[in-house]
Amino acid sequence: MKVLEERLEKIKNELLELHRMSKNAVELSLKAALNDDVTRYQVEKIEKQADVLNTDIENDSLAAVALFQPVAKDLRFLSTVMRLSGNYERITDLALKIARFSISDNEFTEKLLAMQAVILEMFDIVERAIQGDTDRMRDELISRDDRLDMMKDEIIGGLLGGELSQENLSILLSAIHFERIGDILSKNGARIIFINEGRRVWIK
Amino acid sequence: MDAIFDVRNLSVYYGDKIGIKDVSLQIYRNKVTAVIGPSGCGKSTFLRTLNRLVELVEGVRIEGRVLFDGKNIFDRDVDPVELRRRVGMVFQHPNPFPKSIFENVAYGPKIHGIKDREKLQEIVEDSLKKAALWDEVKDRLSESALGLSGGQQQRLCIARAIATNPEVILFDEPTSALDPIASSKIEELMIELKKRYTVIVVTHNIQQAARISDYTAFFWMGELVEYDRTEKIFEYPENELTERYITGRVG
Repeated sequence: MKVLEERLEKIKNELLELHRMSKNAVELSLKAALNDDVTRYQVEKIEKQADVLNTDIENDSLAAVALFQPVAKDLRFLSTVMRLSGNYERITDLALKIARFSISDNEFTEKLLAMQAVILEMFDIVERAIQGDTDRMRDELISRDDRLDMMKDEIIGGLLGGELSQENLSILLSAIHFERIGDILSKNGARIIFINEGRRVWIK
Repeated sequence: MDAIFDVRNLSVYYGDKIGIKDVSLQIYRNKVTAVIGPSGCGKSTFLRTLNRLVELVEGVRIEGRVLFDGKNIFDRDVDPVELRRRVGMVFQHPNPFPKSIFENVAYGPKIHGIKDREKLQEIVEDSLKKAALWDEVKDRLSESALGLSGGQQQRLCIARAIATNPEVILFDEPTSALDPIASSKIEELMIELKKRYTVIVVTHNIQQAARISDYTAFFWMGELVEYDRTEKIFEYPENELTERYITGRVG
């Protein structure tokens, strides 16, 4: 089954590429929102590339299922990879939404940057898992996901009672999108455990 | 779950060589059980032990017990011919007798003492219907069975096995000599047959095992490595060797 193994390896590498693309989009999103048009253009470009790569991964996975009729871990990998891939595409969509906001540097920018930093850590944890190291991943993701929830609540709490200007609305939605990205990464982590160990876990 | 076969510490030796070693498992009534494993792993030996066909091999030695409906099939008072009536078998290559379609199906009941023509006609029609062949051959029952296609011949052999009113039907790689369409018909038929019979099938086609069986037994070098619900075996096998075999990485 060398041919199948080669295909699985190719799909795994494509998934890693998509993972890194979406991490890059998230990393650039806030900078773009702080009125950097060049960076915003970069995020738009990444989002389009991610759409294409997501479609490639789906096609490659479906072809492997149809041609090799895989079972057990191979089947779990191929069926799950399509969902992981769709999730990364969704993350780049959310990053682009953030990038399209217009936010000036203010007291909430630091808080958004802190959320972004937590998400980037989560990306690194999930990347290690894709490459086979799932040790402590669940706990590491849960603690960061909880922190993101709290950070989002802090931002929303800070904005409540104040004027709901266009900028404040952008900050609020950015916080919500970041929190959502954290949720999606946690779900991806749970699905990687399913691929490797065949058991379903919840990371939330 | 109601077990029709209860196999306990079964070992089969061909002279000095081990065919199967210390196998224990239960086969459940009205289920399809698939036996998978690489060539020479003992799966056909296991199958042929269940109707004592393995005894026909010179120098064979059997240890352990096979309880069929609670009775050890190796007890002295068990008649192997009667056992083989109750536990029918279909082989890898279709092997109809060089006789008419009717005579092929009527052969078993005749040697078990049924002489009445009307009764035989009733059995032949019923068996051919159960084997999903009746509509294709009802107008040519007196023609030679050898004129049928490979897939039809295999279904005729299934009808022949059904005609003696068995409780279990053993299939030894029943589709390996057939094209995909004929194979698909046999697979559908095996699923249909489990409503009335217990089906045990040896197959090299693991996708076939996954498609048609309720339980799967994986043999390796004469030993039973894993036996569980088919869904479990093909989704989350317990044993690493099972996983490596079904994903094509060993064997």
